[in-house]
Amino acid sequence: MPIAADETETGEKLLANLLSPGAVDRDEVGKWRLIGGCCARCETRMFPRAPICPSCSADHVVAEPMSQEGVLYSFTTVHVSPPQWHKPMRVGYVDLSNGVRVFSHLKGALEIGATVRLDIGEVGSSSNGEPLANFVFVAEQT
Amino acid sequence: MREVTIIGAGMVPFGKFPDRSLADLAWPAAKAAIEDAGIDPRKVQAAYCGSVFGGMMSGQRVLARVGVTGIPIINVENACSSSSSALSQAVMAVRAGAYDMVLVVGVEKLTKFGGGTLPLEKEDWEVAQGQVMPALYAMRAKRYMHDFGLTDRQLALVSVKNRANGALNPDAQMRKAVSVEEVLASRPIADPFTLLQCCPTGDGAAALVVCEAGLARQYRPDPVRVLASDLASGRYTPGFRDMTIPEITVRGAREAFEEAGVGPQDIDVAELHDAFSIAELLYYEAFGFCARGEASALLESGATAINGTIAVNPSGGLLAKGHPIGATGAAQVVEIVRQLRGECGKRQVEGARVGLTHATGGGIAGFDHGACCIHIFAR
Ligand SMILES: [Zn+2]
Repeated sequence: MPIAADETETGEKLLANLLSPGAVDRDEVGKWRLIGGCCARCETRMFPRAPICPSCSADHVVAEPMSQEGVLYSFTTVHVSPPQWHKPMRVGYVDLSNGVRVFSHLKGALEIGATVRLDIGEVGSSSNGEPLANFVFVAEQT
Repeated sequence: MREVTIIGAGMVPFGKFPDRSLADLAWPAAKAAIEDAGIDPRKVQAAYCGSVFGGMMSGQRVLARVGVTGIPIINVENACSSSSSALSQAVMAVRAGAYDMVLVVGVEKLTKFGGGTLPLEKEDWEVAQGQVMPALYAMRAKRYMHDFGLTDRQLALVSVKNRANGALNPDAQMRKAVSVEEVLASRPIADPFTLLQCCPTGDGAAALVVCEAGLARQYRPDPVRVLASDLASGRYTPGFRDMTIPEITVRGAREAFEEAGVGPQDIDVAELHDAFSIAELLYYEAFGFCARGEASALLESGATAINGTIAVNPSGGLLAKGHPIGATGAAQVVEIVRQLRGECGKRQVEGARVGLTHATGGGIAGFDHGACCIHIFAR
């Protein structure tokens, strides 16, 4: 189950061990969102935000919050991967409404074309046993 | 531009050789290729060595064992396309007139990692998020199954064919034919792949002698002509991509066919990059061996079997021959050279005149693949 980043001890521990802290933040009402980038010159959008535009090399890439839901393009359940990841590991590509595709850990009842929503959850554990938290996309139970 | 031929081909049987050093793994392949060409090792004017995890100066370490030193030695890393990229550089150099005789070596020792998935570059964003090669191919497979109705059983048939071919190849790592049931019952790796739909971890080496065409017949009566040598990199995009269309291979195939002046219907035998079962099916379509969505029908028709109209992976491919990644491209060419010479015994593709090799790979974010190298040969 995805763990809401609330005041519980587990939630705080997860936040302290966020895998990509620069790529996520919370909106006005406290919901998680991904922070991508948009090129000020050619409007190429990307996730994560790059220091310069990967399409036109312009220097100015503006930070841009992205949609908190997307459509599952494809996914798989992996049984063999480096030791830090929980197995079976469910990962896939999520297509966002701004044209950006995000590789992400997944939870819920997955199927291609399903609407998935952003959350934070535990996806693995570090070599010293600390939980590894990351953004995850969650499919609603059907 | 000068014509280029392959006059020497050699490899060591792929397998698990944890106790052998990289140099000890590869020198027998280099020696075999030089002897196959019938040349004095001192005729070699330059060497290109493909390896991914071989470490510093792989080529020098290997070639010090066989008396091929003092010449320019260039070490090439391009993921699964490393030694095919090495060949492309050798072909370019001979075409340009820089050298007449060049040695190409490909070598990899994957058993040094102990097992598991291929270690990818941790600086890559997706790798840092958990991406592994089986997952990348599995997502292609899931989408293809969704879009075209391919079944688990049809997917497993790729492994059945290539394992049967590998059973006929003394250089293959996996030498036992398997049934569809065995493929499907093997342990799950990344849905829909079971173990027998994934290339094995192993070690190996292969080598080629590249020679200017006008000189070739001094050494061998049957030089194999290089009709096309194409190297491409993937096109980066942070946006959507159709994962059932391997764009880098589609582009490379178009370029290679144009360069060679042949089309898909002219290919008698092909070694395609079947790292996972789905890959071979995607590449049938990418090369135009069949239309979109018809790959499994092509396989089931028997057209890609050894006695079919276009034999694909008669060596057993990566699934059975093995995939020591830096050695793969050169080893594919060894197979095609032997097929075009008629040296393949029980797995010989009768009357093969035109052959193709295709090595593509490199799991990095935003790319279909990092690199793709395609060669077309004729006798
Ligand atoms: Zn731009």
